[in-house]
Amino acid sequence: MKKSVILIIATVYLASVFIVGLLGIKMGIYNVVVYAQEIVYVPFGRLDEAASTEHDAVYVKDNVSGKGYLNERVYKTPERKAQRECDVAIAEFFTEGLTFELKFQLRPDNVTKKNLEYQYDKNSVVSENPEKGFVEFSVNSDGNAVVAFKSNGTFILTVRPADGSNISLKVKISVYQS
Amino acid sequence: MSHLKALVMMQLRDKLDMSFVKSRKLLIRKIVFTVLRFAIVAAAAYIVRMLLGLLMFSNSDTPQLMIVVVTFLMGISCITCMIELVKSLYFADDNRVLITFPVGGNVIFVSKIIVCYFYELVKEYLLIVPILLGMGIYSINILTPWFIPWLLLVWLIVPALPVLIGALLSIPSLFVARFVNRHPIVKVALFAVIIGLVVWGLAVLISLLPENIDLINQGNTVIRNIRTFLLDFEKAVVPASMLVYLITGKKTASLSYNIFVGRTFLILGGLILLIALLFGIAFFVSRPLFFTMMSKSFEFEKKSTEGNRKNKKRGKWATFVHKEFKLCIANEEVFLPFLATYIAVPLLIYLLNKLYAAMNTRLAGQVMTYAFNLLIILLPLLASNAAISKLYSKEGRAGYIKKTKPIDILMPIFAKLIFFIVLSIPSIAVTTMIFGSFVSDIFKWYDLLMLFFMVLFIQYGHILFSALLDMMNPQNEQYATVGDSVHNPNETRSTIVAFALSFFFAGFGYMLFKEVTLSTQTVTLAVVKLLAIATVLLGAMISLFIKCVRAYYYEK
Amino acid sequence: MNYVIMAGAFIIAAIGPTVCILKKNGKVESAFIKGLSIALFCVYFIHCFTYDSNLIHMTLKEKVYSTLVYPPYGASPAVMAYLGEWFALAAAMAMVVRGFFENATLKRIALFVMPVYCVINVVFAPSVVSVSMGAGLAEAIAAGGSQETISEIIRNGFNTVTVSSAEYMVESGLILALTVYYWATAIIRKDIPLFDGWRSVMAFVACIVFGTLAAMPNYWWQFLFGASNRGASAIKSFRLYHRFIIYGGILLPIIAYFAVRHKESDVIRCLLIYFTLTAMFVYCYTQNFADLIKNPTSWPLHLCNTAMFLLPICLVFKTKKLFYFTYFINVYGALMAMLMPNYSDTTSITADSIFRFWYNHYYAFYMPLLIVALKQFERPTKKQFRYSIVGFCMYFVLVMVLNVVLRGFGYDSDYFFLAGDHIASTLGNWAENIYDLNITFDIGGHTFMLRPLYQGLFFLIYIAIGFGMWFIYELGFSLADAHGALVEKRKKIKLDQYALMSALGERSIEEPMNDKAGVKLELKHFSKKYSTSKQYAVKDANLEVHGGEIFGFLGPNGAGKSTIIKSIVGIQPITEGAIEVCGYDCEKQPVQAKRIIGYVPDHYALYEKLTGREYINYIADIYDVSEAARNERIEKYVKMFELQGSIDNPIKTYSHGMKQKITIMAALVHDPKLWILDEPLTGLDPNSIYQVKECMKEHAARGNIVFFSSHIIDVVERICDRITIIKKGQILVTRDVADIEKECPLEDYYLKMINGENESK
Repeated sequence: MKKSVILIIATVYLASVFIVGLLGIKMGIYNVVVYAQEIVYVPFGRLDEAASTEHDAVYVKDNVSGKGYLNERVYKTPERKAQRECDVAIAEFFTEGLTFELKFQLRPDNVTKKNLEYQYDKNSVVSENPEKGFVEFSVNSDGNAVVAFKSNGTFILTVRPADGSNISLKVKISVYQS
Repeated sequence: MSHLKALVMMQLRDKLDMSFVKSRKLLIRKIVFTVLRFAIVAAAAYIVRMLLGLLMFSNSDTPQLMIVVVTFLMGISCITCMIELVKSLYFADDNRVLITFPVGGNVIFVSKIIVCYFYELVKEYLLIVPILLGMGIYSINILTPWFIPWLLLVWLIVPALPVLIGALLSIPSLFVARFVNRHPIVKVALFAVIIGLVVWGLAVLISLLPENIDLINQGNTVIRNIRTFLLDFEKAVVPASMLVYLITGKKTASLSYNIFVGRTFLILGGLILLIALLFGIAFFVSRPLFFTMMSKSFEFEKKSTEGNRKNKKRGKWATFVHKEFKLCIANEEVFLPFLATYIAVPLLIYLLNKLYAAMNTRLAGQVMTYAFNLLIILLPLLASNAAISKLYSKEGRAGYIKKTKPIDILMPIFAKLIFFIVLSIPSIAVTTMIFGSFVSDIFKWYDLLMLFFMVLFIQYGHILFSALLDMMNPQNEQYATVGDSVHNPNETRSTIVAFALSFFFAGFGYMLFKEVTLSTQTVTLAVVKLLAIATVLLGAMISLFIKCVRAYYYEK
Repeated sequence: MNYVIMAGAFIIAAIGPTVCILKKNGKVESAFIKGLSIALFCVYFIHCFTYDSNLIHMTLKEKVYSTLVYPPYGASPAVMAYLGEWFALAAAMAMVVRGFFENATLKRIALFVMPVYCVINVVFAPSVVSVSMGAGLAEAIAAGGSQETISEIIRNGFNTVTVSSAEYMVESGLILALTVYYWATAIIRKDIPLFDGWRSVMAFVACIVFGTLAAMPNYWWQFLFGASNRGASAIKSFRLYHRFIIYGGILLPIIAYFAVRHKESDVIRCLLIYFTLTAMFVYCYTQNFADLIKNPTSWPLHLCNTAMFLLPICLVFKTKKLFYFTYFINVYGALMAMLMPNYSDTTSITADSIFRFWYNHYYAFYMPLLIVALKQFERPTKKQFRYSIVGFCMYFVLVMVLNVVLRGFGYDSDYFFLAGDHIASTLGNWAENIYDLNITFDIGGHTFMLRPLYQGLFFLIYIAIGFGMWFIYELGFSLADAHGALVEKRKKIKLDQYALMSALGERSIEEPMNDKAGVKLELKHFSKKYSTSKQYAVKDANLEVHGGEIFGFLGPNGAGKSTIIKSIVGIQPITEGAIEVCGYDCEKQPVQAKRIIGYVPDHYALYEKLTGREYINYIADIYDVSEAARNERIEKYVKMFELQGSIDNPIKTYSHGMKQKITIMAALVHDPKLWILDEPLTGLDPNSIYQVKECMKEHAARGNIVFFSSHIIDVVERICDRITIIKKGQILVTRDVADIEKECPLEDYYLKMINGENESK
């Protein structure tokens, strides 16, 4: 094949990619994909201003499902997050059988894909009886994580948006016998 | 010295067509066309640079882009120079004559290097230099106007680099080539391994493509990644970077470039030294080896046999087919380009569909992808058939001998095409399967089967057309006397028809696919219509081919 | 009253020819008949301007179903009426062309079909006039008149004489007069053209069917496309039977070409004139020519509209310049129009406008091409192309001025799409932006507008495409010529095969034509002229060589030795004369002759990537040599030529002499009766020359012919039995070497013969 023919074929090849890429894809306001840029934890409790600092936001709630006391710390600064090795720390003082729902929000509000993916490393589970399994983790129909505690322990939950954006939120959940 | 000059001039006159020097009119014409060609390439480079500038690259990115261009083109130059020099130094026919002259082998060696240098100089002045010039003119406000004459001056010595590197590499290449030629099994095995690795490597690379490509929304990320790559590339390819720094100069505090700084002259000095060093190595290493290696090329590998192998009888058709297969496989010039095309087409389709799959196409876009797939499948396949339009003529005078044999003339003529007819089947089958794997929700297995036959019929129809072109307008005498360098109008015609057929089927396919997908969501009817047209085309070509061959070869 | 008009027309028309028949004045009679035909055409033509075109432009449901439903006629008579309107055009045009052409089918139509038509016409004239030409009918239907009103109008239709109805009756009268005349003359002169075979019947039927179809008004096509239901909504997509009709229409010109291309030119011209005239009238009835003066937008100044009139004019008057204007400009204009239809996507496919559009444009596209293909006009030259461009320039200026002026006066004219934005809107925003640039000027209260950029570009692009058409036509002509040459060659091949079979009689093709020849090579008045030369390379060569001879062929360079040899072996065809090899004619039984010839060319042509053995086996396979025979012969020659160590090496490793030996072996592997060698000893060493000579002697000794061309006189002298000397294509002498040697050495004799001719001149 002559060089000029190869060149023309190469040009047509590139043009076929660009023409489809520019003219053949879904366009328009309704079809623009908005990716998530931030995950925000939605606390249960009320803001405890006295306990909160410039680095931490502390939320407390009594009588969660009539069975305990919840303390949520949302770390604000990168230094604190590095120090605590997580973004949110939830401490739960409970009696056996507590279940609660973790809620998260994606920012901006008009994110196309609002689903979340949850991941927890089983190796991160610290428990008196890890074989028994101190926590049962599931996702309900609203897409929120539901955590059911059987015994005390700690584990780290990583939350990511399902649209593949490179952001995540680490939540450390610690449960103590009250 | 006078011997060297005479040798160089003699070989230059043979290699480069200097006939225009004789006539003033021809000389002016040659100069005008050369300048025009230079200007067109420079203008094209300028336009491409401008488009890139609109999309992503600012003026300050020009040197990095130049580095990419220089790396790529000089890399190719090194390889082509190596191949050219292997042929010219050791296998050229004029060596038989040169070797008889009363000059030393090293003088012949140097003359060939010089001839190659001039040839390479002309090539680079018609390709690399105008590209760099075009790109430089775009960014002339940061490069100085001195850039233009400096580039033209410096590039007078740069072509010596690939030539000398090629000369040095030619020595081991020759040994490898001769070893491989002596052991055909090694040759075949090596060839198969290289092809396999290349195909596998490309397939792996293609599979790494991201699953979501959105040129518009991900544009910024893509541009950022490309910029990072360019910076890393600049650091990695030091020789090319040095060459570009040589022609652009050094960046000053005001972000413009100054050529006449110490670094430039240092690089220039280094370049000259390097060329001298390479020349010295080439001269002193090759000098004792050159004559031996050159003369060995005239020795034929004679295996002495006892001449008691068996004579095998075959039927007429079988003997033609057997002969053609043997000749095609032995003739790498014919066989390899076809093989390359037949391997490249499935890879091209795989890459294309991977890119398309990553795009979020709407319905009209999907239809475009089907049409473009058809186009990209057909274009290279049919364009490669241009070689068939000189297949019979390349036999030279042996082609006339067919007429003296008591045979139905269609037999040897068809036999010559069987090889290509058979070879295209697996390629088209694999291509169709690859395409089908990406569109299995729309194209069912019977649609793909019909598509396979459609492409096959078009390919066969075009093969017959190209063969007919050659038979109706034979160039046997030209190939017998001049050889493969003859300009063959049949090749051009075959290529034009290849393009016309490809665009027609792609365009018509687009219209049909659009019509059916909008109404019924299945493509079966469209494929049936395309297959019908391809079948009619093939039938018409077979009929015309047979009639024309019989009429042409009729005795009166 | 209408009948009275018909009768009056008949009587007046019949007087002239009757007198001429009685007075036996053929010339005047012929002039009268032509005059009547022209008169019929003129009346029909004028009818276009008086026809109530509102009736045409009514939707089909209004027109046909109104009249079908309403009394007094009911369905069948109303359908007959519309059929009558249709057949009237066919009949009129058939009689118009009959006046000028005399071919048998046309005569049969005039004699056997026209009387039937005339009778039906007379009977159904009232209904035809009523439903098509009734005064006030169109207005009443358009106004949604009541059933009673419309029935009343129809009932009284034939009682009222309108211009339109009068013209129709005059036409009917003229047709009747001509029909009676043709019958009368056929009887008196005993010239009734009866059918003389199935071909004449087929032609007759085909002419009636297609001639009638050609005259079919648009609304009948609409019927076929399903627009017959009064309540049907717009049909938007094609059904299967629609496609059959459409594809049939597209293929019709191609079918017509193949059907008539071998007919005489006169017959083709007659058919084309008929067809173009009917097409013109079918077109006219779709236009509102009644308002031609009042409504300039109805003027047929679009290119494709003008084609409807130009083509019959060109055919009738053989006007070349006008025709080539249409050929170059109209054809691609019609193609462009078909690619950019100027009707809306929402229009129903059965709408009148769509039919008019496609009928007009497809006709304007293919008709000029068909006319040239059928050789009614010659292929165009560059001069005619230039004239057509000039003609286009004049047309362009005319329509541009008309558009500007008429639009200034408030008419919505858009001739050639120069004024409207149809093309610009089809092409896109960029074209519309160019279109919007205009210059206006006011004169006498009227505003005139020019669009210089748009119109200028339009003109230039059209001209440029026109130049492109020249190359497309050239390509088409070369393809047509190549095809024509192929067809001729195939005919010749067939004829030659028949000749061969008849010459052989009951013998098989494998047997020689001359079965008494034995082992002999014979040239009988053989001559060869190359196509590129006017002179003969070989002229009238006669030669006989018998088995057992080694025959030498001597001559200087360019004498014709290779020409003769190449003609014997089949590389070149024979111009005149014949060559026989062992009774097989080289031209008529080439395969059989080649089987017994072995040829060693002057330049060996080997497949260098094969081994010597492979190459010889390949040749042996072609000659169908058995395994035993080839084993024996290959081994024998390998030993003779001392190739034991090389026979299984690739040929590319061989020396020149070895390659020549392989060529010789390949020529002998099938033990040919005639062994031809063309300069075989060139470049061979003495040992090889000796081997080849021995081989030649041995081959001749077995009763075969060795035909040997060489420059080396010593070798010829030593081994040849007879020689022939050739110079400038003429055989000078054929003699035994022994006889020559008695007089003088062969070399002297050769030189004397070669130079002696010069001296004698």
